[in-house]
Amino acid sequence: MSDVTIRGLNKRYGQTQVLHDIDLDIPSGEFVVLLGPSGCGKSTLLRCISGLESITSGGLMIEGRRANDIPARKRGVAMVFQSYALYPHMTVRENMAYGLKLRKMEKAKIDATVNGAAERLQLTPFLDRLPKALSGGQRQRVAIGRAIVQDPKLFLFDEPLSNLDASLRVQMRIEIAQIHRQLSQTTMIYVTHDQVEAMTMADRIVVLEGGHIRQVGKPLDLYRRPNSLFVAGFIGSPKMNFITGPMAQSRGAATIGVRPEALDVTDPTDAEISGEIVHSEELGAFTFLYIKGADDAEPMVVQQPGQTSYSEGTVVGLRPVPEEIHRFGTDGNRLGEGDPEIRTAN
Amino acid sequence: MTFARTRAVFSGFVAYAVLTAFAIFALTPLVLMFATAFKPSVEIFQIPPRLLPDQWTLGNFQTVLFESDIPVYALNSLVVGGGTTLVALTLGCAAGYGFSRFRFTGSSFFLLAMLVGQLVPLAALIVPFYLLFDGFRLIDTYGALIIGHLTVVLPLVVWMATSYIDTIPRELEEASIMDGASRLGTLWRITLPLAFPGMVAIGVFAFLNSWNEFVLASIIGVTNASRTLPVGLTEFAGMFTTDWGSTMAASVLMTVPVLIAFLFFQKYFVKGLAAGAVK
Ligand SMILES: Nc1ncnc2c1ncn2[C@@H]1O[C@H](COP(=O)(O)OP(=O)(O)OP(=O)(O)O)[C@@H](O)[C@H]1O
Ligand SMILES: [Mg+2]
Repeated sequence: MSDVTIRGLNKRYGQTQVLHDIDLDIPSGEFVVLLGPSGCGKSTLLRCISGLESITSGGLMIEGRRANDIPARKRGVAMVFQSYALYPHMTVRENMAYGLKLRKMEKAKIDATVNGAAERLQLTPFLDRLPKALSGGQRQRVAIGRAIVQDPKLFLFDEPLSNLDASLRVQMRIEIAQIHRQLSQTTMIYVTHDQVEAMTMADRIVVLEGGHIRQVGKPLDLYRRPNSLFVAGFIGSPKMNFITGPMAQSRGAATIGVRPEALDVTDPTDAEISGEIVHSEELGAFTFLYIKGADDAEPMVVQQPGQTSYSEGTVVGLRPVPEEIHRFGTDGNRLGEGDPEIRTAN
Repeated sequence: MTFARTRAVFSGFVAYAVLTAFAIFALTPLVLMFATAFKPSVEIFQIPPRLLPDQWTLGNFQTVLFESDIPVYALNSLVVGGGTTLVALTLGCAAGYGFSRFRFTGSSFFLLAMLVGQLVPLAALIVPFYLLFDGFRLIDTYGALIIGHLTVVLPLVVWMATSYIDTIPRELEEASIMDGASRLGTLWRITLPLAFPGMVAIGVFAFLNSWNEFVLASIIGVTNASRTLPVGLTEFAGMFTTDWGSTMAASVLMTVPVLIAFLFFQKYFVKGLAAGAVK
């Protein structure tokens, strides 16, 4: 039930500025993912919102109230930490009841709330265990449970899944998405550097780089229309292929970008690009081909559906799907659409 | 046998040999002390010397307990040691928490400055201490001994507490604050319970230091009002003769409670020291 509004937020540690003029509006009930490479300031931004870190300048409003000077414990915000941060000397039940006891909730109501949350998170059998007797996934669920029972307006997650193995991560991703659906009134801000997590969970993604917001948008909007080389390269896996030189210039751009799935493999003689297959990865559902031209520094990645019969060393041509070409200027920003040059090249 | 195996066996053997040597070195005085305490005085300097008494006796203990002031000194030692420990733990843990959790102007300077104080030997402080305590009319009081012992113990306690609290993840405190606790509430409900093993170790350390301290106690504890055990032990040594049996019996009485306490707290002690060391 919370609008979060951030206006011109700056964060400085002494001389080093970590966040630069952050502007962001988050409507109630939205699931926002802060995405960016390591060290870009995601955690710092989250901690500024939580109140664990002070804001150097700029405004933070939660539910229309200026929150800069409200202490963390009074912001109505719950947070799930990367390391879970479960209290090691308390049982699962005590961990979850801790905040409720502090709020002087009646004993019976605490029990009901904790039991309810435990049931929802399948933690009932573990309620009387200490955290050290739980698996990573169970600990993570306790951490989430401890936040849920607070019934927060705003839910913050700082890379909650990064300590889990791949399959558990997928499972927890789905669970968190379900929790968000159930708590549809609760705003959630989720930090990750994993773009798959971001794409699958977010209503909107905020891409950060070096303490600046680079782009904000729905996952597929970012995927379809990245507004800069950075966002284009960061979102999507494998990475978008970037091409400079005459081929880009002929389309009126400094750099063009083509996603791996937007490249068709053709005969080398009638293609604009040609190269040798240096490596291929067969995943069953797809095959990734790494194709390197004579003077390319890095191979281009092509995603082919299903299993392919190309063998390494074969020379092939590549043709980008014309509507799927992203054009970027010399400053790295996206160029306007509907440009005639794309059609002539077509 | 492979070379690696031979080497493993050999290094195992060397380790045991060295450790055994150390154990003998450390335990011999203790064993002698216990044995002598139970010997009648004629046996103590018997030639050839024997480790165990022929005739076990409790006479020395009787002398110590009922015919000397040792029980009074023991009480004094307990009060001074307890007081020192209490103050050292309270101040030391508060300071350790501050040094560990906050970076304030001069924090590393203060931390270092306290250690520099440790470089001055206590013996060099005796005269100034005496003059100072005399000025405050504190000679021969518990207060003077506690203050004196604290000057030695407190800096180390602060260091130990700081490094122990450093091992408690900050995120636990942050989680508690997000759960709605105040900083003080967090300290009370999260940090202190988790710091407990470390505090036990630190407390034992502080108590032992005070319990065994001699130099300061010998000039401040001039009468029964504040004379402590280590000083009291010397009373059995006269100008020309020393009552070794009683000295050893008193030493046993002084050592045993500490030994028992140590065994009891050992679990925490090892945990506390190890956690402080590894991080
Ligand atoms: N207390 C601090 N003092 C100085 N600089 C800091 C401090 N905390 C963080 N920084 C710097 O701020 C920048 C952003 O840190 P932050 O932890 O927000 O990154 P992040 O995006 O969460 O990265 P990661 O994905 O690795 O967690 C980093 O360059 C870091 O070095
Ligand atoms: Mg981070």
